[in-house]
Amino acid sequence: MLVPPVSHDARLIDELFRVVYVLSFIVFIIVEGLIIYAVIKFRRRRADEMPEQVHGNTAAEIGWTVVPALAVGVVFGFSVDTLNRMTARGSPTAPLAHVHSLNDTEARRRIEEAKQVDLVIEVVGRQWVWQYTYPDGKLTTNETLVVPAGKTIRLDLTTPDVIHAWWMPAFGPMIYVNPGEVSYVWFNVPPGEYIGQCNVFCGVAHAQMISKVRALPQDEYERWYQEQLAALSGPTATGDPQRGQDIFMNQNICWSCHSIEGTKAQGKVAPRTLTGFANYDTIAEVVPNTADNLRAWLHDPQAIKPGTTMPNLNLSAQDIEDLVAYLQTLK
Amino acid sequence: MASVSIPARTEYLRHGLVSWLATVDHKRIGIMYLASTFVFFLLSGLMALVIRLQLTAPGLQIVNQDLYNQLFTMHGTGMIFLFTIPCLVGFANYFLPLQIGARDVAFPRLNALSLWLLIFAGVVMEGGFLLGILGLLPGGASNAAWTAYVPLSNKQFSPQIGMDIWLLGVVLLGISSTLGAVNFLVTAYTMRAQGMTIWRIPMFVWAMIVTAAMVLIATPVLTAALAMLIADRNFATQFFNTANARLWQHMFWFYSHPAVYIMILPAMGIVSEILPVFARKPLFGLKAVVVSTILIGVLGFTTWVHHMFVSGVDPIVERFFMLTTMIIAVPTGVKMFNWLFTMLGGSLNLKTPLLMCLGFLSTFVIGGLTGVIQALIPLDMQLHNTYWVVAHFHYVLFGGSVFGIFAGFYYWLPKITGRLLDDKLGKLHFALMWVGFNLTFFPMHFLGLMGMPRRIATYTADRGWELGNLIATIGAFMVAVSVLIFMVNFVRSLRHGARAGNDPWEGNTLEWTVTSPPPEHNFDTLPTVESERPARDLRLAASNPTVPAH
Amino acid sequence: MSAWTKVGAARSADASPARRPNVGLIGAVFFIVSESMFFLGLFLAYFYLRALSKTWPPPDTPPLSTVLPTLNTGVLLISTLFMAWAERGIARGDARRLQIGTGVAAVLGLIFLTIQAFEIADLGFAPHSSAYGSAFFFLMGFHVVRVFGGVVFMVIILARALIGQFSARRRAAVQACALYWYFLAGVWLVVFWVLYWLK
Ligand code: HEA
Ligand code: HEA
Ligand code: HEC
Ligand code: CUA
Ligand SMILES: [Cu+2]
Repeated sequence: MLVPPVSHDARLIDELFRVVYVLSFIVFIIVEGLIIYAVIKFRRRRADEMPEQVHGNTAAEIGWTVVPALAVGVVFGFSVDTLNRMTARGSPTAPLAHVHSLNDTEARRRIEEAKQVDLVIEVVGRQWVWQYTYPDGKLTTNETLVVPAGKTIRLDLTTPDVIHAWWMPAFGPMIYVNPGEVSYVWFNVPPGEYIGQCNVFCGVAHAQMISKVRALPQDEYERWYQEQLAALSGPTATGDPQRGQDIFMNQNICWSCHSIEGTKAQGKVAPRTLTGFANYDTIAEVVPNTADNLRAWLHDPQAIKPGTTMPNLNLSAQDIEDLVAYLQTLK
Repeated sequence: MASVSIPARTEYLRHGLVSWLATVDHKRIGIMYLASTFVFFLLSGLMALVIRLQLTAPGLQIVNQDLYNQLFTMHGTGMIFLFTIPCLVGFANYFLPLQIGARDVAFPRLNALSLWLLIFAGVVMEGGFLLGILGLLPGGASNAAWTAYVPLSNKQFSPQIGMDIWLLGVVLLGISSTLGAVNFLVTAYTMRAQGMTIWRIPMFVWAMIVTAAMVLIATPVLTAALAMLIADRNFATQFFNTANARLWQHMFWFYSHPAVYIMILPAMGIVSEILPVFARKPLFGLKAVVVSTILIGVLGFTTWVHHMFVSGVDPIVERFFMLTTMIIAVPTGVKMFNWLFTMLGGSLNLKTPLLMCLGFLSTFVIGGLTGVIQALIPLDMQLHNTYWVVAHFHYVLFGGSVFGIFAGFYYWLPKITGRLLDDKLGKLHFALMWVGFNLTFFPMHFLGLMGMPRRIATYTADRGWELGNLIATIGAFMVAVSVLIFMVNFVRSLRHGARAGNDPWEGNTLEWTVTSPPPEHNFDTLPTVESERPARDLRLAASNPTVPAH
Repeated sequence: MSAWTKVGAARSADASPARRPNVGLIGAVFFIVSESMFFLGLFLAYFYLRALSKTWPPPDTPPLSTVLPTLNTGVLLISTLFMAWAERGIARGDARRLQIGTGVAAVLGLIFLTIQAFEIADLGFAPHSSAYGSAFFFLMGFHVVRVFGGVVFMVIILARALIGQFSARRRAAVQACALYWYFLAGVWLVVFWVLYWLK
C-alpha cells in the first residue's frame, strides 16, 4: 500500500498485499511474455505457410488448470489467516464477528468486554461531514478527530441519512456506516496527522466529506481536550440568537441554500450542512471558526474566499451580530 | 427452395428509411444495434472526457459537483447498459444466425422489438440526461451512480424526476435484453445447420448461449429490484425505506456481477474466433474453452457479495464469496492459456483484428489479476471504492470488452459492408488506443493505493494525486483521438475500401462462405457442417479436391 | 411482400419436421425461466424483509382470512385441469375439446381475478403501510398481472381455436399457453403458502 501503514490491521493488509503482488506479478510476466514471444517467433513470414494443426494437449491443459487452482487455494488460506488476525474483524466464531449489526445492548456489552479500549468516540457521518463526540458528551468536533496516540480507540459510527464509509487509508480497513446500524472501528496509532475521506458515494458533496485524525501524545491530548472545553464556555457573540434564527429562516434567504437538521432550512447549495456548525474547525474551509471571522464572512464572503458561491447579502451590523449568536448555538 | 427468389446482389441495403424502420431481418437489426450503441459509446466517452478534464488538476471546477455526479452516473450507465451489453448483442444479431447456418433468428419480430426497446430506452435515458444539464428537468438527471444505492436513490435524498427516468430506462433495457436472450437461446438451440453438433458450434455462438442464459436468469431479479425502488419512490411502498440498505445491494449485484460476464464472454467469443483464423490453427483445447465458458457462466452467479465486503455481510458468507470469486480465475486462466497456445506454433497474420485481440489479452490479464487481488477481503477493505477498483474495471471492461468489440469491428465490418478497413489506419488506431488506454488507467492503480476514492468531483492539492490524474487525462484524450481515427477509417472504407470478397481472412465459420454483404436470406441452400471449421473445409476442398478436408 | 413472410416461407420450405423442434414452445420454456427468476427475486425480498423485522406482520395488521384465497386456489387448480383436458384433446385432434377447455379455463381465470380483486380490496392494510404490506402487495399484485396476461393468452388461443387454426400437428401455441398457465398456478401455490400459511 502506498500509504504507509500505521496500525496493526494496516500492517497485516500490507503484508498480504506484498505476497499477492509478487504472485500476480509472476502470472503477469508469464502471460505477457508468452504474447511477446508468440508475436516475435510466430509472425507469418510466407503467405502460404501452414503450421501444424495442433488441436490441444491434455497434459498441458490439466497443468494450467491445476496450478492456478493451487495458487488460488494458497492465497485463500493466507487471506483467511490475515482476517483472523485482524482486530477490525475477529474470527467468525469470536464475539466481534460482525461489526456492523451489533446494535442491541447485549452485543454492545460483549464488545465492551471483548476489547480493551481506552477511549470510545461516538461518530455521526451525515451529508457531508463527520462529527465526533467525546465520551462525556460535552465536546463535539467536526471533521477532525483528536485522539491520544498509542491508545486503543473505538469509534461507534452511525448515520442519520444515507450510507457513508469511514476510512483512514493509513489505518487499513474502511467500513460502511449504514442507516439504522452501528459500525465499530478500532485503532491504535502512533502520533501523527492522518487524512481520509468518506468512501461511499453519498450525494452532491461527497468529495468534501473529508476527515482528519490527529494523534497526540497523551499529555498533549489532555491539554488539547481541556482547551477545547474551556473554549466552549468562553465568550461568544453578543447578539440575540432568537432574532438571528428568525433572520436565517424568515427575514433573509439563508435557508434556501443551507440545511440545518430539524428546521425548514433544507437548501442544497452550500456543500456542508450547518447542523453542528459551531463545532466546525473552519468557516468555508478557509479561516478558523471564530466569532470575528464569522462576522467578516457574513459581512462579505468574497473577501474571505474569492470565488465562493455564497453571495454578499448586505446584512446590517445588528443582523450579523444576531446571526453569529444563532450560528454559534448550532452544535 | 424454388418458391423464393434470393437476390444475389444486395439491393436490400438501399431501400430507404421506411424499410429500415420496419425490417425484421436480423442483419439490418444487427447493423442498427451496432450503429446506435456506437453512438451511445461516443456520448458516454464524451462524458468520460469531461470527467477526466475535471480531475486533471486539484480543485478544478469545469463542471459543478452535481453535474459531475450526473456525468459519471450516465457515463457508467451508458457504457454498460447502452453500449457494451447491447453492442455485443448487435454482433450476435448479425453473426449468430450466419455462423450457425440459419436464415434468421427464431423470432424476427421479437428481435425488432428488442432493438426498438433498446433505442427507446437509450433516448429516454440520454434525453433525460440532456434535459437535466440544460436545466429543463427540476433537480437534474439521475446522480446516484450507476449502482443507485439506497437510501441515496430514495425519494427523500434524490427527489428529482431524473432519477425515475433513469430507473425506467434501466427497466426497459432489462426487458429488451431478456427478450433478446430468449431469441438467441431458441435460435442456437433449434436452428443450427445440419451436422453442427455440440463440439462444432462456433465459439462466439457458445459465448452467446451462455451469455443469454445468464441474462435470462439474472435480469429479472434486477427488474424486480427496480420495480420495488420505483414503487418506493412513487407509491410510498416501504421496501427500502426501512433500515435495510443491503437488500438493494444484494439484488443489484445479483444481476450486476453476472452482467460483467455478460459483457466479457461475448468479447472472449470474438477473440476465440479471431485467434485461430489469424494463426491458421484450430483453437487450442476447444472443449476446455467451451467448458470454461460454461463454468464462468455458472460461477458468475456465486460471487456477487464481493461488492459488499465492507458493507456488513455475515463473515462466513463473505468468506464463501471470497473463495468462489477467486475460483473464477481458474476457468478464465484456462481460456487465457488456450488462447496463448493457439498463437504459439501458429502463423500469425498481424493485421488489425489480431492486434486488437492482443490488446485484449495483454490488458485483460491485468484487470483479471487486480480483480483477484481485490477479491481478498482484507485487501478489499483497503481498496474498495478507490481508484484501484476504477482501474480494475476499466482494464476488464475497456481492456477486455472494448478491445474485443473493436477486434470484432475490424474482423466483421468487411462482411457487413463488403469493404475492408484500411490496415495502416487500423494499426495507428490500435497503437494509440493501447497506449492511451494504459496511460489513462494504469496510474489509477497507484491513485487507489494512495487512498483516492472514486466518485469525487474534486480533490485538494495536499494528497499527492496530481501526477497520476494528469497522466490519466492525457491518456483519455489519446483514446479519443484513436476513436476518431477509427471513425475516419470506417467512413473512408465505405467508399474507398478494397473489396472484401467472400472471405478476406481465410475464415473458419459459415459467414465467410457467403458474399459480403450476405444475401438477404443468407444461404441459398442451408449448409451442412462436418467439422468445427466448415468454411475452411470448403476452401480446402475447393483448392485440392482430392485431399480430405481435416 | 414483407421480409418477414419471405423469411418465414424460406424457413418452412426446407424445415424437416424432425429436425425443427417447435421454436414457440421452446421460447415459452425460456420465457418461463425468466418469469420464475422475477418471482424468485420478489420472494427473496420478502424473506429478507421478514428476517429483518422483529414482528411480521406488524402488530396492528388485521389478521388474514384464508377463505377467499383457498377458494381461489381451487378455482385456479380446476382451471388448469380444464386446460390440460383441452390440450390433451387437441393432441388427439379433438378441436371441440380444445374450444370448450380453453373457454372454461379462461372463464375460471377471470373468476380468479375477480375474487383476487375482492381479496386485495379487503386486506385492511396497504402497500405503503409497512414493508410487510409492500412485499405482500408485490407478490399478490405481480401474480395478478401475470394471470391477467395468461387469460389474454387463453382468449387468443380460444379465438384461434374457434376459427380452426389448431390440429394435432399444429398445436405448439396451445402447449405454450398451457405451460404458462400451469406455471402461474404453481407460482400461486407458493405465493398462497408463503403469504397465508407460513408462520
Ligand atoms: C468485464 C467486466 C468484468 C470482469 C470480467 C471482471 C472480472 C473479475 N472481477 Fe470485477 N468488476 C467489474 C467488472 C468486471 N470484473 C466492475 C464493473 C466492477 C465495479 C462495479 C462498481 O462498483 O461500479 C468490478 C468490481 C469487482 C470487485 C469489487 C471491488 C470493490 O468494489 O471493492 C471485485 C472483488 O472481488 C472484483 C473481482 C473480479 C474477479 C476476481 C474477476 C475475475 O473474473 C477475473 C479472472 C481473470 C484472471 C484472474 C486473469 C486470467 C487468469 C490467469 C492468467 C490464470 C492465473 C491467475 C491466477 C492463478 C490468479 N471485481
Ligand atoms: C465499458 C465500460 C466503460 C468504458 C469503455 C469506459 C471508458 C472510459 N472511462 Fe469509465 N466507467 C465505467 C465504464 C466504462 N468506462 C463505469 C461503469 C464507471 C463507474 C460509474 C460510477 O461510478 O457509477 C466508470 C467510471 C469512470 C471514472 C470514475 C469517475 C469517478 O468515480 O469519479 C473515470 C475517471 O476517469 C472514467 C474514465 C473513463 C475514460 C477516460 C474512458 C475512455 O477510455 C473513454 C474513451 C472513449 C471516448 C473518448 C469516446 C470518443 C469520443 C469522441 C472521439 C468524441 C466524438 C464525439 C462525437 C462526435 C459525439 N470512467
Ligand atoms: C446563494 C446561496 C447562499 C445564501 C443565500 C447564503 N449562503 Fe451561506 N454559503 C453558501 C455557500 C455556497 C457556502 C460555502 C462557501 C464555500 O465553501 O465556498 C456558504 C457558507 C456559509 C457559512 C460557512 C459554512 C461552512 O461550511 O463553513 C456560513 C456560516 C454561512 N454560509 C451563513 C449564511 C447565512 C447566515 C446566510 C444568510 C444571511 C447565508 N449563508 C446565505 C451559499 C449561500
Ligand atoms: Cu459520505 Cu460519501
Ligand atoms: Cu463482481
